[in-house]
Amino acid sequence: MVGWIQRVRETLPQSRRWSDIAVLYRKHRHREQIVERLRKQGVPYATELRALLPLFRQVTRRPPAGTISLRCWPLGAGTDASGASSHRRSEGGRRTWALRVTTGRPSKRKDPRGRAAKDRGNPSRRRVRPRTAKRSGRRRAGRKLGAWRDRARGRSTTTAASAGLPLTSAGQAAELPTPIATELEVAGSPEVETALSDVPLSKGDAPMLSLAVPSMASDDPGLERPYSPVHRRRVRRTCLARPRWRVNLTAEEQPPAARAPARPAAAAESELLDRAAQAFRSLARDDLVRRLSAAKARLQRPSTVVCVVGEFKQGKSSLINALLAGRVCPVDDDLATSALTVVHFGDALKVVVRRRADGEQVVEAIDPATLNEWVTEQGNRGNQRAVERVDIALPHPLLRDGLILVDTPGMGGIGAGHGAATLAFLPYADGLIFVSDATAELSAPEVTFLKQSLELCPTVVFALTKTDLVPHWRRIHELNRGHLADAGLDLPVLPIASPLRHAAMKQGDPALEAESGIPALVNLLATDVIAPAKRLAARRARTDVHSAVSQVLPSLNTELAMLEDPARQAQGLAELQAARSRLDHLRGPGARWSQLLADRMADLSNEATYGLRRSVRELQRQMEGRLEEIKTPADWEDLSRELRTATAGAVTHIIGQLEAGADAIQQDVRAMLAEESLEAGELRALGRSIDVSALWGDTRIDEGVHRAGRVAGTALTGLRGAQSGIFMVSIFARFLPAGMAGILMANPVSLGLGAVFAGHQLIDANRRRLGARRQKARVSVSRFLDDVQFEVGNQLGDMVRQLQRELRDNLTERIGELHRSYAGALERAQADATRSQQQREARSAVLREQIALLERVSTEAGAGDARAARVGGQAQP
Amino acid sequence: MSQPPSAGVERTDVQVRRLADLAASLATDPALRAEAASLGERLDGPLRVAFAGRVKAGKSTLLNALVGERLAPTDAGECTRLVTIYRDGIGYGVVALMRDGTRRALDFRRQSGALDIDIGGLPLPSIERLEVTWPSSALRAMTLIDTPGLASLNDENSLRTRGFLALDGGRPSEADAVIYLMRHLHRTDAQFLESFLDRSLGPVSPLNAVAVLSRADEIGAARPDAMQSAARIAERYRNDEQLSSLCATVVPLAGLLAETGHTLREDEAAALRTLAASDTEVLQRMLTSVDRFVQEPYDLLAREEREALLARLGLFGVRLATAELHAGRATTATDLSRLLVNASGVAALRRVLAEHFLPRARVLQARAVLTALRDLARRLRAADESAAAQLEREIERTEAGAHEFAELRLAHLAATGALPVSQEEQREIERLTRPASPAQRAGLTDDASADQLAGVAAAGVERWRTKASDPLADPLTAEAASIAVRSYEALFLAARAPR
Repeated sequence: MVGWIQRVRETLPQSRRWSDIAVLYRKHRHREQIVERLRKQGVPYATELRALLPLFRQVTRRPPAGTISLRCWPLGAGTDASGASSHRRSEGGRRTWALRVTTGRPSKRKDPRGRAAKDRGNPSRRRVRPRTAKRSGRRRAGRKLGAWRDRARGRSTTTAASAGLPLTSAGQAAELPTPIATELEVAGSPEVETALSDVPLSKGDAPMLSLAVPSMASDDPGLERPYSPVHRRRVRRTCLARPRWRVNLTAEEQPPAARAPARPAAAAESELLDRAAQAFRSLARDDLVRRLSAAKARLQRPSTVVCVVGEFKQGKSSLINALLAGRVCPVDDDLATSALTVVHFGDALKVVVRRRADGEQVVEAIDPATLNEWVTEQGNRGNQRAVERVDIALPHPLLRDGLILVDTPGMGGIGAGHGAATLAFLPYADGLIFVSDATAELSAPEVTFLKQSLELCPTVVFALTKTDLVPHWRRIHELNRGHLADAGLDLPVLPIASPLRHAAMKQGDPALEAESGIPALVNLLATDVIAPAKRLAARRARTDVHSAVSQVLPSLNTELAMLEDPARQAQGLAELQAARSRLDHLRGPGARWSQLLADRMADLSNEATYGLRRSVRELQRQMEGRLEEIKTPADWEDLSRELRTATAGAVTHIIGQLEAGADAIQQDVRAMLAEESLEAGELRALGRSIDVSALWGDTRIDEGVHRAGRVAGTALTGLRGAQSGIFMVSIFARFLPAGMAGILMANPVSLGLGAVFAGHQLIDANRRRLGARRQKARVSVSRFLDDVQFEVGNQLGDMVRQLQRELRDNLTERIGELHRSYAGALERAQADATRSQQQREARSAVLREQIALLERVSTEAGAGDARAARVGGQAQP
Repeated sequence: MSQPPSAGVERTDVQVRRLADLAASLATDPALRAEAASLGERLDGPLRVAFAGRVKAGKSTLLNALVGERLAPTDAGECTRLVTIYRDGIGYGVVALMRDGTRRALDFRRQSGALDIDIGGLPLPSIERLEVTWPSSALRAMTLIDTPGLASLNDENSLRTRGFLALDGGRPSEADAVIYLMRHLHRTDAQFLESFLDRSLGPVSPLNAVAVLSRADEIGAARPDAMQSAARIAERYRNDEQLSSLCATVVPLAGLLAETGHTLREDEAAALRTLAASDTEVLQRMLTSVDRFVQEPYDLLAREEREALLARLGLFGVRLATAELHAGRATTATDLSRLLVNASGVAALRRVLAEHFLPRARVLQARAVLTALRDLARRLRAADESAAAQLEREIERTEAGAHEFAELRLAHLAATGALPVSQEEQREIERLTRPASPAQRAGLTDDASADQLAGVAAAGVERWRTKASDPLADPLTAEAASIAVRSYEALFLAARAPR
């Protein structure tokens, strides 16, 4: 077995054709069968073989604990088109393969064999295996493995383990948790080398690896069918060489227009949402169905913001282009990116430019082909068009999971202005890709920047670019590692050669793609950035289900109670009526909560505006003192850097306060609502009251989840955080005109050669000039602060208004839903009163069934929570 | 080199030379005396051109390219740690100039071309600089000075303390002219200008400084059109106002190509030929990335050979050379050398040096020596008050009397944009102060008659005199105008002088 893998490993890089690889299967008895099965399923088996082989290779190669790297690539690479065009082509009806990798500990479903093994209990009897496993090669492998495990654990649990079974320390089969780490979806046209996942492993978890391929005939993208039992075993066994995790690899073909199919990690939640939606549909509650479908969309695409930063000319845009396998961001040998570029998912390529025109912000869609004219130094010299930000919507599979890539303009000497703005943005970002090229080692400002950003952002990746060009990049790599270690920074450093990815696409060369380093980066993003966001989204989906169910359940219960006990009908009707009128009031403009909301929001807005004005004034005062002292350009540099950092800090602080304030208001309003509703306590008579707390079920669910929680966490302040961060970067990009740094250096040489001959006269002249420059600097500082105050003030106003609107709408909507529940129940109860006994019984049966269905859904959501808590607890011990 | 037209006036450099002799005779301290003597000698020697720039900008590589030999050691990491002067001489030798003023001969050998100097256990800080004497025709025209790169934090600090206004009027400068090497940087980047503010080599001016956009092949990601791309960027820099006030021009340059082009060996050419003759597809694959080129098992060349080629040429160089060999545009090492040198852009730099530096070499040298003499006089004051006073008086007199210095100053003011004059006038000043024939300086062709020249000069005198006497003009303009008047007067005299 090991020898076989060894051969695969050795042979693979050179062998390009599947037939070469298939020969390697000759020892496999079931080869024909596999092939036959695959043919029956219509799967081009060569593709699968190719997909599988590297999998073997990677899986068996990985260290006992650490990172597992899985990669797959489909066959049939074309050599004719660039990444972008192949992407378009894949939409034009070509088949698209999506490969997913999920991990989790093995399932209880596999228990029978595990128990059997345990019952046998004797490691020497390992040859007694499931019927399908008779080959001697397999036995050999099993023996080896058994020995390995014995050594590793000092116990004879080999049989169960080698059968792919999970074993807790007590030797018991473990329960199947939700696949934790990740599903990573990689989809692309056949030309696109897809790939992989780096799955974090922890010790003590038995692995399984399975491969599922859906029938090609199936139009349902969500349908997954076992690939082949034989094959499944085989893969699993291979994986046992290093038993740690269960790994699920699924490949599915997507119809070209397919949108975000269900994915395993969120599959449970997705299904839950579907079932809940179905239940509500049967209750004719379109409003709740809509809410759940919104939740589903969110679940499938939780926003995760990854910022790409670095000094200019390091290859940031190229990196993004390589990630997306196309020419998305403008790239040029000369300075290219002059505006903040945000790349996110969209159904069609669309480019929106935000710019200033006569002091007003103009948002306009432009022809993607003309993008260069807007954001490059050549097309838009010195940013004359005052472009602040470019939004690119792109139907790219990598972005489908909600990944948002932010390309920043290069920072000059990273500690300066842009750096400060980026740092301010980081608390909102889920990930940061720091780009520095291999032509030179890390500079001091870069290290400082990294140090600061590691404190602010959960995931920072160092991308060492241009490794395809620099012969001695390994040495630079080492030097950089040394610098990072000296600074006590622990972050992954990935060598990246962006052009190689494009070349690999063209040539269909997987090895070349691996060399480009992009797959590793995608892996890292998937596990460290997208997976946490997905977990959070799953959690939120469960809460949504809870909340929706609790909107309906009490009214149904009341109705049922009345049906079953006609004596209480009158009372029940009265109660329902009371509840309805109470909710009528709550919904109306006279309700106290809406008053409270308006008042508190006005306060908050004032506070924020005042806070901003105060900090700006304070800054101005500080700067004035300092401006009198500056003498040299270096002083000025320091000063402006400080100013920018301080401003960014102040603005971040105020936005943070605003969000905290909005949260507090939300809590207070809810408390008041609860109070108001409690006054309608008459419903207690039926043993059930309106469950107010469940009303606002989607409040804060990110408690205990740090960092990533900020983005997807709170219901109301979701993406706004990221947006204000993006806003901040663009503010700084705009307010720091080229002249800023050069003010004092306007003409440093007028002193140079001239001074030698002119003596003191010229120096005096320069003293006068220094005064003038100080004046200029003063004007420039105050203009900057004015601009900040104006812009940020406006933005704050917008934020508060939006917050208020969202809060109000959200609560009104919830009350409306509840109102509808009770109004419906009342109507039905009134109708029931006139029904015959038989009809009533039938009706109560239906009700009971509906209630049971909803309760089941709710319980499942609860179970999901518990499961996630367990897994989360293990993932972060 | 322009001859001052006024035949009766002594050349400035001769005057400065005499000043140096005077200083040598006045100084009683042997160290000062030796210094004065060496200053005098400096006037006889060629122009001293220093290379400046940040760490890893490619200074030593460019020096080698200009010399045409692998002389200065180069490396992937920071390499040059001492100021090293490379000058022409009769024999080969390396001398360390110690801080205490003594000189020590050092052992050296050549390792794969580059000099390997053994500083013989001397502590680095005790050495002021190294002087390498090397018989070379390139060094005969220019003495080249290699400097350690401007490093990061410490230098920033020192730059700060030196400051702007503390800029000394009389620190002796080692170099008469400077070549600034810069990587592709952002216009607004502070470091960008900072690299020009290092004045330890002397004051910067468009008259004596040229910027080089170094490692140009890397800018274009080693694509075939990388050099054109770099030229485009250099063009943009050239038009940048701040930059044009700092240096004469910006030249894109691939130093490694130039260096290797000048020193290409036949065995290397043979290796390149083998590569070029191989299967196109294989070659294509090899040249995808540096790793592919080196690591993949090919039976074409030994891995070490490939590594060596890459180190010598870079990916761009290998791509270029194999493409040219493949297309049949080159076959021998000589062909390849020429090709690489042409592609590197070093010819453009040489041209710029020849046009901008060399014609003014004499005046620039004289100015640098005069500055050094001023410094010497200041130090002399401690030992001998009266001698120092005498020397300073003479220096003052020379400086005031030398119209060439005034012209230099005028040219500097115009080139840096410090003068509030119209563009047309600025161009006129540039023309007037250019080291060229009188007719050309007056804006005429060389075949213009003496009367024409006299007419133009008289009109110029008239025009600038009006400007100089304008009561509202600021002192700088008035001064500039009166220098221009004198220059036109000199032209007039030249026109009227008997041929």
